[in-house]
Amino acid sequence: MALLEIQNLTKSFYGIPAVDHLNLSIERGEVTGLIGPNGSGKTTIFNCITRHLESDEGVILFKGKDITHTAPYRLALSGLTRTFQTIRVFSELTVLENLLVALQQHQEDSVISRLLRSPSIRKFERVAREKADEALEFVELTYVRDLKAGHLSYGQRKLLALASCFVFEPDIILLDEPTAAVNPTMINKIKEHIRILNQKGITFFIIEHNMEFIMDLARRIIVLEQGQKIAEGEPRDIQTNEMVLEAYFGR
Amino acid sequence: MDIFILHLINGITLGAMYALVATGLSVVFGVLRMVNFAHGDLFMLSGYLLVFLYVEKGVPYGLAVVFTVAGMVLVGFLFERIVIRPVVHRTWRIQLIATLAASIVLTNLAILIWGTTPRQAPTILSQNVFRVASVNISYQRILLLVVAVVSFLLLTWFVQKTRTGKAMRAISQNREASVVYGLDIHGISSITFGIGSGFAALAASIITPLYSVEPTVGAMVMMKALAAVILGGLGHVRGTIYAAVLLGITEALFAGYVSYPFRDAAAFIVLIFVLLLRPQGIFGRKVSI
Amino acid sequence: MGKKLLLPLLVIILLGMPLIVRLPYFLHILILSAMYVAYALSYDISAGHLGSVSLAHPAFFGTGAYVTGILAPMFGTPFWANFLLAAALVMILAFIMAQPAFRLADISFAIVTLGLAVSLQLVAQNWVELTRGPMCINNIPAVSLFSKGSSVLLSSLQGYYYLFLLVNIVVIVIYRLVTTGRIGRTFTAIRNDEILSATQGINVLRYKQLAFLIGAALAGGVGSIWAHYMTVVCPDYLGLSYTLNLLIIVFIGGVTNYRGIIVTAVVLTIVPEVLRVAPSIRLILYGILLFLAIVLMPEGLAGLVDSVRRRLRKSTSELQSAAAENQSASDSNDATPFSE
Repeated sequence: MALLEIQNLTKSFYGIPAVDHLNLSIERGEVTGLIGPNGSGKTTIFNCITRHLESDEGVILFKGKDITHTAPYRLALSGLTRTFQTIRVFSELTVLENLLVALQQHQEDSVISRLLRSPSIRKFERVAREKADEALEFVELTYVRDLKAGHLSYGQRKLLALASCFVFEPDIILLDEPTAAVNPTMINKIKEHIRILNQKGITFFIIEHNMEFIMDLARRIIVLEQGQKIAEGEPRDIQTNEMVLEAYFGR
Repeated sequence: MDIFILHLINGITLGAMYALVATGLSVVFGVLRMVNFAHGDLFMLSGYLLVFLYVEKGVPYGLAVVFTVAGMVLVGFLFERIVIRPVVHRTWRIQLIATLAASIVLTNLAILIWGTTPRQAPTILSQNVFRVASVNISYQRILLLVVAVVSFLLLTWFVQKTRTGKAMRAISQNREASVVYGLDIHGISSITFGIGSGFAALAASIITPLYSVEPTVGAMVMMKALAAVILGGLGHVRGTIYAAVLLGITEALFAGYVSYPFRDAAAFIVLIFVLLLRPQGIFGRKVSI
Repeated sequence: MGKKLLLPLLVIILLGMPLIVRLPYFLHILILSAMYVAYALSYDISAGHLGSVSLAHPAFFGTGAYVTGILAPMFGTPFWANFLLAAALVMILAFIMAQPAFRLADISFAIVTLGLAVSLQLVAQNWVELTRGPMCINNIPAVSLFSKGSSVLLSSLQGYYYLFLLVNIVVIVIYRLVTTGRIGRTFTAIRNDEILSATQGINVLRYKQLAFLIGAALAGGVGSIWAHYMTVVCPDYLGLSYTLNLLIIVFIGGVTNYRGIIVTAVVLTIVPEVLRVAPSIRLILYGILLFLAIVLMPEGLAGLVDSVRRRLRKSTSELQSAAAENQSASDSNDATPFSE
């Protein structure tokens, strides 16, 4: 059974299909790249999966369950999360709190115990802190741990956004252009992080324009054009595929 | 049957009144993407301006209406410059608070200047009735209907055919692109606001002779207009007009057959039920991120 | 050092106030400002911390007052029972109102809450059998600790002053409990970015409703005590003018900043009374102040104090300056509670 499966997904804007009867599936443990020219519908697919957009047609299965109409927060709780093209962080919370607030949603505490600060909460909080510190160490953000996230540089925000996704150990993370507007050193860092996280068992589905990056990282690439899948395969097959070259460079 | 027709006619004129007020709100929302919570106060100021011109200065009614509308268009320009422009790019919360603040100031200025006693401005038209079968309709109400229809036609013509109107539509569809194409956004905003304020003035000049004007008169009219704007789909002018008429008729029938004291709640009951079914309003399109 | 002394000093001043302020009128003003502190804080939980700027808050205060106004004369129940009952019933009311209102975003939410509040005010005005309509409910008994018979100690002006101090302590404690720690952190996350919150597993709607209900319940409780104090409840308790007062206090004081709100509530209530300004002139000035506050400093007066303090600190120590200041300059438009 595939971890994430998309069947016959269709989404149109003003009658123009952005995603057109698309099928794809992602196995557990994979790193899959999603590439295609601008406007080919990549982010729309992500938005339909995480239900930031309501799809017109089609079914999306996650761990075998139909999640087509599941609220985004429930998806996160069941192990599917994402980053955004324009980086989002909680600007008024510190870097540490950004991770804590994500972590605590996945702990089984009640509102009442949170209000009353019961001892169990303190235990939960300690566990969360340990995990958060570990994650910060991993992405090398420990030195800005107590800084408000709104004061971070762009690259730091990008790392924080990644950290607040993997910190609660989801099954799959959808990354929307993780290398956009990032310097080469940082790109290599991000690549390394993804690799290690993948080895730890997190599945990745990545939209990317940086070919070198994605061809190096992904085991499988899906190529999209005008909302349709035009090719799928291992990186080196994709690099030599006629249709792909045509889609990108126009014959 | 006669009673029913009477209620219906009342409802339609009420609807026309709400529509005139709501159109101003809706046009402004369409172009500026914001709700002006001081719109009711512009309506109230217009009422006082009419009373000043027509009752105190003895200007003939027709001319007083023209001056009121012209004067309020200028006030609209001024209002846009002082209150709207500083918040037009801010969040809805800041816009809400800023325009409510403006409303507080205008309402209390009116109390300071004119006191709280209602002022009236009866006209020959409002004092004479037109009889159809056994139903009496004052000529002022007929004037209201005529003015509403004519002004909507004029507005449609303006938005569809003139350069400024086309620019308004362009901005409402895509603000960023409009900047790129070199449209004078500030200028268009001013004009839009002038139109909105002018519609409020038109409504007030025709309605004040039927009722009266006091500093808080704008609040309830404004709330009905807001209900119409939301019901019609934010920024959807035609939808707003239909919704306003619908609310007017509902209110009149509610007042006639269900409960007169609770008539003011009718609009909100309709609003809430419709929104439970269609959160984007009757005519609005669902907006996503 | 100075900070440690501040709290005991404040407690002494607050407790000793009725000994210094002898004139009943001034004591009344103090009680009024204490009421506004609790009322405004109850509003800030939802409107400030979660950004759900509802215009229905006085409906909760007013309903709480009516619940007590109607039931207390009938049953002669003690004030704390009325307080709890008003809070509980208002919470149910808020839950019902939240169902349609929270389906809507942004400005539509504000407008629908306004509509609900107006409808409720119409009920208060027109359901004469229950509320006596515009004639108001009079002769609400003074507070009593136990059923039957009011205790003289509590129902004196001084008694009410201490009672409102107590109410304030209750409100501030609950306010702090929900706006700090795990829940407060989640509130901030939602206020900063709802979409991101959802992708991290936060049930945004549930938290927004939670804040709305808690704020409503507190307002209902405050309204209940206020009804006892005033001995009269009128339909205008539910009216728009109260909403405007709340907006003035909360947004000038600074959303999410409870100290700023407390100071603003007290100052804005006391100053015009002392200076004997006509209500309309006062509201004109406050309206202008509110406008300037929201446009120029969305973080409120407290935010202004903070930024002045930050600037002073910067002039003494250059350490954190460059980077942080650059960032905060470019962020100041995005990162303030009220920009997104």
